[in-house]
Amino acid sequence: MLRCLLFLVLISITCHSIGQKYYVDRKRQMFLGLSGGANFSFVNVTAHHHVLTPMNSITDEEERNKQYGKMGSNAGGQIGLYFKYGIARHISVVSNPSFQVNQFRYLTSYNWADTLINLGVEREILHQQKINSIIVPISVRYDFTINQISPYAHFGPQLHFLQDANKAIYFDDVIDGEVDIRNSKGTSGNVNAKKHFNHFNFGFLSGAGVSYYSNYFTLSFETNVSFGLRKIVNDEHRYKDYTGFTLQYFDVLDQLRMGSLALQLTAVFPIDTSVKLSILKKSRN
Amino acid sequence: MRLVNYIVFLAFMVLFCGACKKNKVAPHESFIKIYDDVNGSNEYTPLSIIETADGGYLILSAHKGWQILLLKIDELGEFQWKIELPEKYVNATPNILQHNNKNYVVCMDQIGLTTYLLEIDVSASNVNEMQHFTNISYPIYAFSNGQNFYIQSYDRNSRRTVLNKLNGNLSAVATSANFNVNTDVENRIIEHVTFMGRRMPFFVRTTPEMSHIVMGCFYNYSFSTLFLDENMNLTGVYNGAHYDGSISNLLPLGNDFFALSRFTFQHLYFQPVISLNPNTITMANNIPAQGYAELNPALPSIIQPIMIGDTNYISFMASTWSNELSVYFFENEERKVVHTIGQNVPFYAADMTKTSDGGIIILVQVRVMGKFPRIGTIRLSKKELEVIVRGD
Repeated sequence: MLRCLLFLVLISITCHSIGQKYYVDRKRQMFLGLSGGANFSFVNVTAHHHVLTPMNSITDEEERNKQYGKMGSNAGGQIGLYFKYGIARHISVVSNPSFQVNQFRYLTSYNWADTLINLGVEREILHQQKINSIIVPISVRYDFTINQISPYAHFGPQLHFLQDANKAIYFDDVIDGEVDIRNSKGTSGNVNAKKHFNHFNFGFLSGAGVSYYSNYFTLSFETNVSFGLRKIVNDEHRYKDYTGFTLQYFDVLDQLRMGSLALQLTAVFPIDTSVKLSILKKSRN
Repeated sequence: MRLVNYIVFLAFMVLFCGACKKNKVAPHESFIKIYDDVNGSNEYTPLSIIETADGGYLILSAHKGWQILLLKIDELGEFQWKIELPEKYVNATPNILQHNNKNYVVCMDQIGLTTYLLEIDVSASNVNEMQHFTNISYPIYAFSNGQNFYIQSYDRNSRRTVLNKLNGNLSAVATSANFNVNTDVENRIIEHVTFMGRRMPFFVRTTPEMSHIVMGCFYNYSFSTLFLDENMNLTGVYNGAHYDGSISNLLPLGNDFFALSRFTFQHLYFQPVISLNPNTITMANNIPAQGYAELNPALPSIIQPIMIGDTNYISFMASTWSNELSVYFFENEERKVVHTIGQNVPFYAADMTKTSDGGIIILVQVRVMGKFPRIGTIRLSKKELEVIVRGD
């Protein structure tokens, strides 16, 4: 995050230092283009749920809880359209409807002693969820300069429409804090889990980036943080076991809110009814 | 500018509508729990579940073979306490009996094979021995209809099935009736009581009019269903086909109508409404019923009347050969829907009870990791049941 901010500051300084031949006139200009990039999801657990319940009252609750993977292991991606309308020189309204794949993982582990074979039995399970959504954000964007290279920030509400959700289980027989997906002892395969998730969510998106304007296109690199305000797991369907994993892998979803950090590139094109596109105006200095 | 205003207004309206939707199932209305023991060699065979006054549930289970465990869970299905009864108490009959607002368990003495009546005090989390019936051996089933308390047992000396009716304060046997088996079935009884072999589907029921007692038991070289009058005199018999075909569960509906399940070797049959003649002698396998090839007849089948919405259903629950639990809902004689639960893991239903809020809770045995037999509960809310019977 710090690196991104530093990058933006550097870009901003650079834009001032490159002598400005042109300034950008965004007012009443419409832009349409494409965006795409990677995202890293994070979850906020609001309620824990368990299937396997120890028959003793001295169990450490923390030990029972799922161990959620760090943001770096929850990589996904998004691709979408980018629409921008300039209200004023510095202010625009932006919408970036996109198809987004979010992923989050958690680990659970269980062990039994004194079995018939006089050996302990261990099971470590990696639960991987992939959620595909259509995201519709509407943001207000502020461009800090009117230069050809201009940093900007944006903020606004965002709607999530669940398109699909899948779940896969990987497990091994050693509790060591990780399950190697490629070399796991077994896997469930990918199973549809859409009914376990709420189909609609909303939240907020904020981000910052830098754009390069030319007469015919604009390229931007931006980083966004979004966070859904609604809980993502359907409480009514939590124990319906659509995946068939509940009894076999003691799998039940906690109640969660989810957010993500996204990095993406956009390429947009000015849309104008006039024959000649002229978003760049000659600078007076 | 108008377009922008419109978009912003639309966005916030959608947000508002989204925020209005509430989750309608409370956590205590729907859950699946498996009660685990880190000691892998401990085995549990769940037998019966009842709802308690505090909204939680009391579970009766066999463990380590024929030893007895009582497990109390709260309304969310979370563990509260357990009592492992002393080793002298073994072979609990497979139901918790509710009689005069008290909870009882009938079990057997480990050495003398005689019968104990234990009272479970849920609020004090303890179990008290109420009676020791030294004249009742091999208790195999107990039943209370709220007025009368019956214990079915087996007399190894006379090779007879015995039905004992207790007196009002449950301190002694008021009346008993004997039924000749005519052959030695003690080995089969031992397999049943020790949980080491085939469990036979013993049962005792009374008709709503209290005119007859119906009993599934060993009788006349077979596992048969006997009809007795209120004085416990035999009035009719539905004979089993030796020990491999008979009625396995029965729910009296009134006016000589019954819902029943019956088995024949590898098949299980259901009949949601059938008139049985309590004054006849015939074969149980002649009772018309629908066969279900997917169901395992060796595992318990459970029959419960249940009201869902405004409709009365007869629900049948049984376990499939492919590790699923199937619940069939019948409206009159018509099968409305079948609902399956679980897959992949060996498990079966042991009991099912209605909850005070219109849902059901199912008691199951689950083989955790495919190895360790454990107690499990599956709670379905009233709303879930409504969705199931609608077939959504």
